[in-house]
Amino acid sequence: MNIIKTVNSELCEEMQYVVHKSGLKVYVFPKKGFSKYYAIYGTEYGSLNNAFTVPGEKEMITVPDGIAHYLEHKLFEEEDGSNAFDRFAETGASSNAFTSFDMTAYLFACTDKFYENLEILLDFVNKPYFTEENVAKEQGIIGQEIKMYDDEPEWRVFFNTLCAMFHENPVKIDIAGTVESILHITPEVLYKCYNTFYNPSNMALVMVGDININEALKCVDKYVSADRSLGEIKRYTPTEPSSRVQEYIEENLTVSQPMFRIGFKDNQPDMSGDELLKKEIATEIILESLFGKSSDLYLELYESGLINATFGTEADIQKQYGYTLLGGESSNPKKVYEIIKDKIDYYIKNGIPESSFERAKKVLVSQDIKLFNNLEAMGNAFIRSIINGQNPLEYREVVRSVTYSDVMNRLKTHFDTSNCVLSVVKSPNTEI
Amino acid sequence: MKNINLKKGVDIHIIEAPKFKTNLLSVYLYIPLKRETITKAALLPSVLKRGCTAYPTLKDISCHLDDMYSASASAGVRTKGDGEVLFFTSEYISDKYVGENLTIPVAEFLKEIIFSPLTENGGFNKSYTESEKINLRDAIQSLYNDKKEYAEFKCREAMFGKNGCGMFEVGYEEDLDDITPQNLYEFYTDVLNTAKVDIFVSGTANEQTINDITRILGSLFKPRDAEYILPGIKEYKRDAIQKITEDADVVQSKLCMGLICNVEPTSDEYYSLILANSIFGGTPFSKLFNNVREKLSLAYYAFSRTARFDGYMMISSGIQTENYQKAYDEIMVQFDKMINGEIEDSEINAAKNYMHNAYTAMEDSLKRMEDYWLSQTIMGTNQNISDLLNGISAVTKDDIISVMKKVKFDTIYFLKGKEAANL
Repeated sequence: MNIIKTVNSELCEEMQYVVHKSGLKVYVFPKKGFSKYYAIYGTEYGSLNNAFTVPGEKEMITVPDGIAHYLEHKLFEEEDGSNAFDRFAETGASSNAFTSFDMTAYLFACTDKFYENLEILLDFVNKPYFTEENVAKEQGIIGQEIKMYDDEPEWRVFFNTLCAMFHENPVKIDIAGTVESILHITPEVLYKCYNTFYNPSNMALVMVGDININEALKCVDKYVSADRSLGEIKRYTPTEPSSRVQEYIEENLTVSQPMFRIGFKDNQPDMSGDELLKKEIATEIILESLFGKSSDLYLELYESGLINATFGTEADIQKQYGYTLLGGESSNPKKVYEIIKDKIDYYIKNGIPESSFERAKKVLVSQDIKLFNNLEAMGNAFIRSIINGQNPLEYREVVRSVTYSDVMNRLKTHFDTSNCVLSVVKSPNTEI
Repeated sequence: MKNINLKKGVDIHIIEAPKFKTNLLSVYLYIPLKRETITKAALLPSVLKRGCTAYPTLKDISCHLDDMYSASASAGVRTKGDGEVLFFTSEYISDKYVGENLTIPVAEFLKEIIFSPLTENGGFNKSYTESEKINLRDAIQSLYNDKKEYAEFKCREAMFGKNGCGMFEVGYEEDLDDITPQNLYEFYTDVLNTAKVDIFVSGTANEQTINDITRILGSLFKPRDAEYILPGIKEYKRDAIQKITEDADVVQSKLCMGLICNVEPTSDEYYSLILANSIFGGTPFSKLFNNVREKLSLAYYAFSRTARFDGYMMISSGIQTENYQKAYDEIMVQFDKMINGEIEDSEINAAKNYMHNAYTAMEDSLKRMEDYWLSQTIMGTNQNISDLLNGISAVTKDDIISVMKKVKFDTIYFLKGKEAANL
């Protein structure tokens, strides 16, 4: 195996990378002087992937909503009835896992016994143990997790926005599924998902800290066998119309102030690598220059009392889905929505000020420098870049390569004010 | 950490950690936590952040920060036992990565925000004050949006009443009408003149850096007679456990239990307490996690926590309404195990390892280091992390049992959601 090392001398940061013989992508970002070690082990599989063909079979299958997340919970289960948390307890590491739309990841942070912890991580993720009994037991726990989210207005206003934007894309389905859908999850179907997506060539292991990659590879050899490569993964992705589903969506929940999200769906799918990253960066530059705290619009909305410090923006632009959201709390979300649409149309017509464009680029490069202070944040951001086919040390180069016309094109295509949506969560007795 | 006493009541603290790509410069103004001033203290940072003479609007402030390579600036309040700190913090990139010195402009910027607010007619700018009062009202009301936080706060309030850690640091709605730009400014002037001042410089700092910061910021604070209030022991005063139920239109009920620890925050007994808490409910290998969640599947979250200054322990869990008694009983069973010494050596070792990792990892975060040293400074303990870890290693099983015996159930607060049949 050939270990490739690259250095970014501006950042004083290094990356070591190798493809293990199983197909697993292994990365180390050395951080000397830090006490902590962080490892994140993820698969490109999330709540989106609810229809696929199991390797070696012909028929496509559709699995219950929420199964990727359910699988994440169940992998912690050990054959002797204990769980992986107990094993990390012996070493003092803190471990966790998360499931997103297109990724499931398992992680730990420690200050001691790194390779021992790495072995635990690799072992439990590569050793599924599902029985009728232990699968049934999880229904109570995940059922309460789902209900907790049902009471969270922030989560509801977010998911409703996705439902208003997307017709077919499974990104609109709640990651944890529903109390009803998880009843249909069985050990058999969990194994099907596991065997399809927990395939080393579909996975990455990212480690941050003062780590020797050769030592880490010895651990990988022990738990990830070269013959685990299970062949091509056939995901079924439904065709998504470019139009929105509905312009306005509302839900009643007891909240102190109406909450809102304005959503723009990404209609330029099937990108990866630097092309995808440029699209994301162009979107971030627009958000920063038109709606950031240095913008005229933010000042206008804040000073008129239409938004408060909760206002923020977010772009989630990935291979299998993409959207941009703006929102927060407001006594008059509909007015904010109209003002924002007008402002976007104004900038489409008149252009974003060059100075705002330059300022936004500088902000993105500065934020990238700060990222290297935090080992967990590095690991989480970089596994995402790696899955998307990007080089984490070259982010700033890509920012520099984004031109003014790239940004104006993105503004015209993505921020389509005739195709955006407004989602509001408000108290039952509040009129807006 | 290095300390330099600049003058009476004004200190500068230096945490050298050149491994970071950023520096942190913070000013802390320590004042007593009082019901009469808590809302004013909460409102102050929002008004100051709106603008100052040199940077009169949010946009001016933000553009200036962008120009300093996206330096961050935050201001707010944080409670520390029977006191609270009003803080101003900026994180900015070290010279090495941007090729210019940002310490001086960042210190100058904080100076403007702290010492040259926008004023008129002997008070703060009226429109900023009034609009931030509205925003604070929203922030106070928004506590109810997060039912877990809400239930925990209501439990805490029922335990202590509206004083000390029973208070809501975001403030109280009923105070807002009486706050004027003038009385808020008067309060701020008083804070500036009388609060204990601690300036923290963390990251890459040399003698020149310290001199620059002392000249720009330190020199503007007058000497003062200011002292911290040492956190005292919170004693248990109840004859019977207080039980409160509040109905709410929610799917998931929240069960909170507040306990009084009866432990001196500055004493070595605190180490026994944090280990006991880790074993009982503070970790994913704790008794509460393994039994309430994993074994009985009653909850997604079920944990306990305690904080050094607070003197109380909070048990918090989200459950189905019908499962109240089951969850309650199981928590009590696990608590009794702690008191009866049904604790394995492996649990104690796991808790020690966990704490060792948690405290060692703190050295990888400038903000957490700074907060640690601020707390140490306020408590007057000035103990470094390795001393603290030695204290934790020395704790025995008997210490854990005896500290848990001091912890008493005070209040049980149930935010009662809908029953399954009515969903």
